[in-house]
Amino acid sequence: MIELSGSWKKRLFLCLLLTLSAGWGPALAREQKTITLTTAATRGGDTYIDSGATTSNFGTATSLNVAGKNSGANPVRALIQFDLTSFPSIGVKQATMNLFVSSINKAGFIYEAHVLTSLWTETAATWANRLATTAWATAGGVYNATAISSLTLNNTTDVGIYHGWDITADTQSWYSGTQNFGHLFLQNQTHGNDATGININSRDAATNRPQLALTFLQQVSGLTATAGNGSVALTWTNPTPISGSTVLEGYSGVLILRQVDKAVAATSVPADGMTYTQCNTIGSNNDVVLFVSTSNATSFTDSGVCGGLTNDHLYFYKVFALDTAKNYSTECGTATSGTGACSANGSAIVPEVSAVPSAATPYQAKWVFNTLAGSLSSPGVDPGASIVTASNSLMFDINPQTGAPVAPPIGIGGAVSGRPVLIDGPDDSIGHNVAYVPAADNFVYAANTDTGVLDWVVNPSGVPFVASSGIQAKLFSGVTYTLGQDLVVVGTHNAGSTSANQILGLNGNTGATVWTVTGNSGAVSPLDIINSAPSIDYVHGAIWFASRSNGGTSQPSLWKLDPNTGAVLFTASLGPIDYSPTLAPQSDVLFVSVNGGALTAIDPITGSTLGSINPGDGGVKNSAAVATLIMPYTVVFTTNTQVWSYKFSCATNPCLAGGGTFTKLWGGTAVNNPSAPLTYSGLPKVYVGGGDGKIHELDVATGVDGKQRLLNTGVVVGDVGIDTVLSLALASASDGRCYAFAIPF
Amino acid sequence: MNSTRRILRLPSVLLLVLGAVTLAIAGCATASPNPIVMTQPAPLAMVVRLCDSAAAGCVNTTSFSLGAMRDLAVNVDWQNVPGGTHTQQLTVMLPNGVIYQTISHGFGVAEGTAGSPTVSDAMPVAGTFLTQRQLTGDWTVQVSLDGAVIGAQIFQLQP
Repeated sequence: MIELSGSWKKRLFLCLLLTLSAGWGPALAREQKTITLTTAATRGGDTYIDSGATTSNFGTATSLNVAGKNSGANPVRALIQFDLTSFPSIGVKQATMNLFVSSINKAGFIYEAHVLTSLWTETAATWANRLATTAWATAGGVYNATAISSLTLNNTTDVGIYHGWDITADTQSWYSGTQNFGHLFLQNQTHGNDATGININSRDAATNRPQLALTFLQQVSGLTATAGNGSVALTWTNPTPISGSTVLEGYSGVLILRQVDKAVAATSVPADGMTYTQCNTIGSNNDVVLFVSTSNATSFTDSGVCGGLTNDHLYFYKVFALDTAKNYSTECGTATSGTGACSANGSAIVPEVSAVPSAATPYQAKWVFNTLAGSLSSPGVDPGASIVTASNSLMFDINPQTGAPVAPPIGIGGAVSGRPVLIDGPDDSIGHNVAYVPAADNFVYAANTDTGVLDWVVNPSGVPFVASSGIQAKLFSGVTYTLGQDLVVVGTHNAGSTSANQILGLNGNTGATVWTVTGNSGAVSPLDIINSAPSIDYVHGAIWFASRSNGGTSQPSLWKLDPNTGAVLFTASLGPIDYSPTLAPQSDVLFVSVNGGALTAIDPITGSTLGSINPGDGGVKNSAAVATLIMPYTVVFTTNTQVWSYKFSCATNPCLAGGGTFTKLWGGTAVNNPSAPLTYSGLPKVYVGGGDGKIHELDVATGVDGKQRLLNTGVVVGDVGIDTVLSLALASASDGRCYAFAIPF
Repeated sequence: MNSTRRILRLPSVLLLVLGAVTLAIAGCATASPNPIVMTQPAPLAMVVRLCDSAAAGCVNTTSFSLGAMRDLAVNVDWQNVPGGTHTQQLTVMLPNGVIYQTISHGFGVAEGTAGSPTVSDAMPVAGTFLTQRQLTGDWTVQVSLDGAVIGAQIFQLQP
């Protein structure tokens, strides 16, 4: 359902030389596997686009044409994207796209592969458009002008066989922070033009479909750390070959890098073919080679080798899989690949974990996942089942038990600032687990979190989104909700206007616009930018939005809408609001945090103000949390440097305008630059992300900041999420990582 | 803080790849009546202009107040971009050097020409975590063209 988001003593003499033989340990593998792009592939596809038929789609064609017609005026280009779902966590050593060329008109022409830089779909892409109603920024596809590889084909000897284009660097980048939109193939017309060009078998062909030959190492899995007094015990599971892969060399063990008080750098990569010994350092970050296994070890206890282990300091560990040829599970080409180069963040995908040894209070992260961008977008949680965190232009589906990626990241077109909203199949109208994500590229995305396939992509207003969406689930709605499916509600962040922003209701199954509210249009008041998710009031059948207000209180900043029609039922001019309104569990009070102002209690039926409180310290920031189930409510909120708890009560039932009273329970508890607090009825703690790199665990009854978990030094921690099934606290940090800690601390 | 515009140039090797080079064969005048000409392509260059999206026009600024600004407008004025399809990527980095956002923008230049387009993008600021969590300090916007880093501009976000 929708959720508020889970001794070795110092033995320098034992420093190991990696002098392995293939016979050591079980011969598992560096692996090689060829993926065939078939019609069964759920992600990816192929088509061609024709400048002579600019609006025609050829997504079901059995042959892909690549040609340069009429002196380059009317070229034809092929688009091919492979489905890498089966390879969620690998270090790519080599990737070659093999295409069966069934015909070649003229000899001597060069055919180039260019990486595509915009999202497209097989069923909609044309010369003009990349999506059904969205044009390419430049007709004919948007791609990097520099080819990743090219081939010169002969029209007699090269026909009827596969040809390989090396796309190693691009494939590696897809695992280290770049979206995978596939490749575009074009004819280089430096030597003239060939109006017929070549034909390539597509995935719709009966035989000889496109293939991708991958050479890779899998990552270790199930990495755990257990901190003790002066020690950290690590365990992991070594890879086993993927079914059907060809084993080139046996996995022989692991290499572990360690860093103290900061993370192991994504640029720290052991070089393939190199032998490392314990206590070597790698990279400019001087990450320490802590352990090298040559016998498929599955555990290691760090008791202070290589410079010691100091209690109450934060240690990061990154575990690389290793084979008998001394290849490491990085995004770096092997010596045999011809490049040997690494992607920009060559070890970003390599599993890592952190721990704080201590005599009194040792602790460790349950898992750490590198999202490759410090967006602070909070992770969306489907408790016990799935965690989706979006960062920059990628969505990651993470196994909440292990922190391992379920599939390669889903590439989208713009940055995501808000928490992805997840809803599971039994509860939604689309029929499967889904995440809804608005982005800064003006699009709203719906992604199947079981497969990573985008269900739909729409651009409903042509302006960016910053805030998360809201979901009104039909299943939980009363009879007054008349729509036939779930409603996805989004608000725009059009900074170019202080009055004409929009709130849109989208069909949860298709993305089609159900209704639109436009500020300063008709009877609608001016609407400034929206920076926070709406609150769904199932009891009263309403949707609450907050917005800015053109800098003052002259235009509305709190909006109540009818979910069926979008009709504006109520507005209030409270001053600018960047935070989501918080509906009390009984839906009888709406708590609104006015930027730098007061926490204001609103009657959700009449819209009248019941009461307000401003404890100082720069006024409220972030959304409030409600810790009790019924009135009087315990309300927790934050200001610039403190966390507060107040009791909200009313003299009458129902509460009358001005009849509500805030009574201080505790506060302010000092927390540096706090996030929104997270608590709810039945949870005895309050969790707050800090500007000090920590998640703080406060006692909900006393406000005592009893325990903390340090994510990383020098980082800001975003809003916290809770996996109520696995008892995990989850948060993103400005180091680009998503962290999970067991709760209570 | 760097308050001056930067003009950044591509490595000469890349220019040779990108530029349209006219080649002729050197020889004796009697065999070849036309003089030998080797045209050096004009160098690819760019200027980054940063400004508050709410400001009229866009006069380059490299210091902004988080409390006052709406969005960060990033305008890249290119010079001598070879004909064809291109992808510009802006990589905006936090003061700690971690990527905050990337913004890709495809654009085209007429074949056979060297274009000087301005590519405009914006990064949301008002109401985002930048303002909510006061992510102040020296930020960097790095500009790439077709996968190659061309240059970078530092800007300062103040409370």
